Amino acid sequence: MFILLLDKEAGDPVNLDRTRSAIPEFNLDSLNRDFPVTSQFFSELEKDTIVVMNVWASWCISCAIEHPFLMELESAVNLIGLNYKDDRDDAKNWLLAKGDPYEFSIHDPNGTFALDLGVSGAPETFLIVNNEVVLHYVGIVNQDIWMNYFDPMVQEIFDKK
Amino acid sequence: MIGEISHFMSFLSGLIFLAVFLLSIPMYSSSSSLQRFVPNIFFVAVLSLFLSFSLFVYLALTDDFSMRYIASHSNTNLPGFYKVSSIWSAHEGSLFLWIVFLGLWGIIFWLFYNSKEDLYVETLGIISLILFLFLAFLLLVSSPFERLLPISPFEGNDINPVLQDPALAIHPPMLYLGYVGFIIAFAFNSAYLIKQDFTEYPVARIKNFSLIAWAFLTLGITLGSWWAYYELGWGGYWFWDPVENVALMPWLAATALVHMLFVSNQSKSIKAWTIFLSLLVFALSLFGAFIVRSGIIDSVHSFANDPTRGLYLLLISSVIVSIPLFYYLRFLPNLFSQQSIKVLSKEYFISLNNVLFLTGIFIIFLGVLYPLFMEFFFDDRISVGAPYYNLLFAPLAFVAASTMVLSTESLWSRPNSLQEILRGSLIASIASSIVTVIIALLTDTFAWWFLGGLFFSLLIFFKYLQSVIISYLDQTKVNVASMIAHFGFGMLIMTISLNAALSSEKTFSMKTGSSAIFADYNFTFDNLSKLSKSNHDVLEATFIFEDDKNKFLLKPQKRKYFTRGEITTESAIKIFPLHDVYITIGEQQTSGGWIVNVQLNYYTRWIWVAAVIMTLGILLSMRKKKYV
Amino acid sequence: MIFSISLNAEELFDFQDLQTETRYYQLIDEIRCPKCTSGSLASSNAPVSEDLKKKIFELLEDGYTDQDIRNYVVERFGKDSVYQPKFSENIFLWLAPLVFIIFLLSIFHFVRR
Repeated sequence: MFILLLDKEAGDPVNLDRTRSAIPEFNLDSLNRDFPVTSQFFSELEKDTIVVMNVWASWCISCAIEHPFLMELESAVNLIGLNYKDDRDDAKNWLLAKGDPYEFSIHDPNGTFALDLGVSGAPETFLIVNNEVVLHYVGIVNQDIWMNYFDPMVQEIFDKK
Repeated sequence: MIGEISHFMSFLSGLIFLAVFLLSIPMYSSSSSLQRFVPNIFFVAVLSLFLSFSLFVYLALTDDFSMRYIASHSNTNLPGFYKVSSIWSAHEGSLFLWIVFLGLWGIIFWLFYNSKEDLYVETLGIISLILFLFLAFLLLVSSPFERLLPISPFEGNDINPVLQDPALAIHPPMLYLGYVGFIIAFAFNSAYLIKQDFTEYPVARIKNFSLIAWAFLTLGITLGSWWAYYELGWGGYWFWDPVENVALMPWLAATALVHMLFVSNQSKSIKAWTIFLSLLVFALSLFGAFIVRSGIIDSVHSFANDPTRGLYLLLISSVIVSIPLFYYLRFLPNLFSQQSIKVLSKEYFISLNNVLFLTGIFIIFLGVLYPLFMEFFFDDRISVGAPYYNLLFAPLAFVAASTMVLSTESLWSRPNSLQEILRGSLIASIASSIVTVIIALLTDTFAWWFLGGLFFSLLIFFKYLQSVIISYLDQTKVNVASMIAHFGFGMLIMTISLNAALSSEKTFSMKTGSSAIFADYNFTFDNLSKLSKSNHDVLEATFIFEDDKNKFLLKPQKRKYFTRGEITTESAIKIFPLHDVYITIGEQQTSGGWIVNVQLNYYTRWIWVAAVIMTLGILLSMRKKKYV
Repeated sequence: MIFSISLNAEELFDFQDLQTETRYYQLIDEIRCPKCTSGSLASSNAPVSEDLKKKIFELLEDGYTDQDIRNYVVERFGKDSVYQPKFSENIFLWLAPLVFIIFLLSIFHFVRR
């Protein structure tokens, strides 16, 4: 058994315990402060709408690495950001410098909403459908990861429609 | 050049060790004329190994960065002491040290064991075989001798700041001296099994080697605990971290073995236990080495996360352990004594003791492997930590204390009645109950583990007090060494219980100039200053503590090391006889206040004192023995 | 005293009573830091640990029981974020030592050599 364990890859980044749980209550601002965002945003979406929520921050180096892929992803899905424990201005400047792939970002300066979702750092990415978390991925998402983990679920939902 | 010589000497010693082993083989069937030469050849092999290591130390001290290992783990700015200790800061070097200590214990055996006695050459042979196998592993798979040529760096890496600490520098060598010391018991008993001459069992001759090894192991673990307490910032002294657990298992087996080695003086029976435990201690030491180096375990301690190394170590360890094990199982019936152990005799109690120790080992083994098992087969991630171990070890320790106290009334090789045994401890039980209740009332703590811890440790104290008084009145002798060692054990239970029950902490948010009250102390956050040292920046907070009797300063720090950008938290501790005041600073909040954590830790230092007392007892027991 | 004390510090968490405070320190010893290789919340001052500690304080204020709080953490960070494996799901882990010791004692009793 030891021999087999030695060959096993390092931990599975998909948070399996958290799938299929409802979006917790929250009450925050969008990053540009142009409108409030609450849990109603998710509960009032049309049935079977797919939302990809990406946890990011200006202080997060891996997020910068992930960023180009998100710019590509933007056109294919509804992508929103969860700006995690970040200074509002630092975050806005980061997006200005690199480009903003998100339809909008939720500003969570104290990380309270994130904590309630089981976020422990950045980047992390959620697949949300019908007010439920369907997938919670911890780590950088790129083309391969997307195809392996996210795409199958997305296809499943499209097929249902 | 010197690097090559050092490398060659290791290689040479490996070959010579193989030769020693091969030459020792004929000894098993008959006396051989070659036997005269074996010790000399062994000596040459060890000499070569020591030379190799000495040269390596020289290379480290002289900053030879053409050696990749030295360049990775040392640099010119380190004081000499840390240049040397950097050798065992990572996998290849620490394995090298392990092997050198194997050689060291080999030479100690070579020196102090009478060459005319049985099993001398055979034991040297087995020690040599193990040395050969590990040297082969070192040189082929984990060589510290790799070069960075043709361009060697002018400067080495900065080492992890946390490693630049005296206690942490000595902790591995102490531990290794302990682990490795049990090679003598292992090799001797393996030779005994393979030779199959079961008429005599001269194990008393190797008793002292194992006792000294036990002392090193205990002190090594204690040193680690002490370091963790002042360095890691949360005031704990034992974490049930997988690598700690993996050191505790051999320690438990070693303690059981040590009991058996004393028994062999008094009673010819229980050979089977003694041999088994001798094999087990070293097997667990090897297992420990494998786990730490394989990357299977998540731990703050883990060395190298390289699966292939783990595989090879597993292979070598399996080979080394399974051969004597095979002989053990095959000849087990021959190892049993003619007479059965009498009910409630001292042998009975000591065997019972072994059961308890083995259960302790099993609990840790289970706790370490179960999460791996669950993850691998069921993809289910579980953590096993302090709550599990504490819950199971407390009752186990209580039972051990009880059997220990009861056994003092017991006699060798004779059945005893339960009534007699219990009667002898009646007074102590009553005294202990009374004092337990008093202490519980005084401290207002009634948790089951606290009451149990108090009762059983006091039971030990009172029983020994009673024995001392009686022996004084009767003018009979007592076994002082045994008493001291077991008193230490009682003290260990008591200090652990008191520490858990009485310690407290509080977290504050403080700005400079503010004050707060904690326990009897009024303390003020006096100021925050920035300092610059050679390799790090310091943010130092000064706190003034005051109560009715004392006034003192404590200066916890946060450090940022230049090269790696690491931030460490340094605690500040004020030591009083029975407790410590312990303070650390955390992050600064958005409000501007700093998170400050203050603790009162009771009796923590006395836990380590208890461990030292146990060691003292063991060392004392080595006096007045004819055989080494 | 010559100077007056200007500001009094606040306890980071204002516990309603001693029992709640004791429960807090007990819980942060049992719950694993989500981001660290190993170690409890008590032993970590990583940002997510500090956040979680604050949340635990809030949950205690709201009247959550210890088990409720453990469930909260497990739902969000996984079963391995609590150091004490649940008895019902891990019976083997808890009972095996008992079985082991009974097994050894029986062997000892019958063989005794």
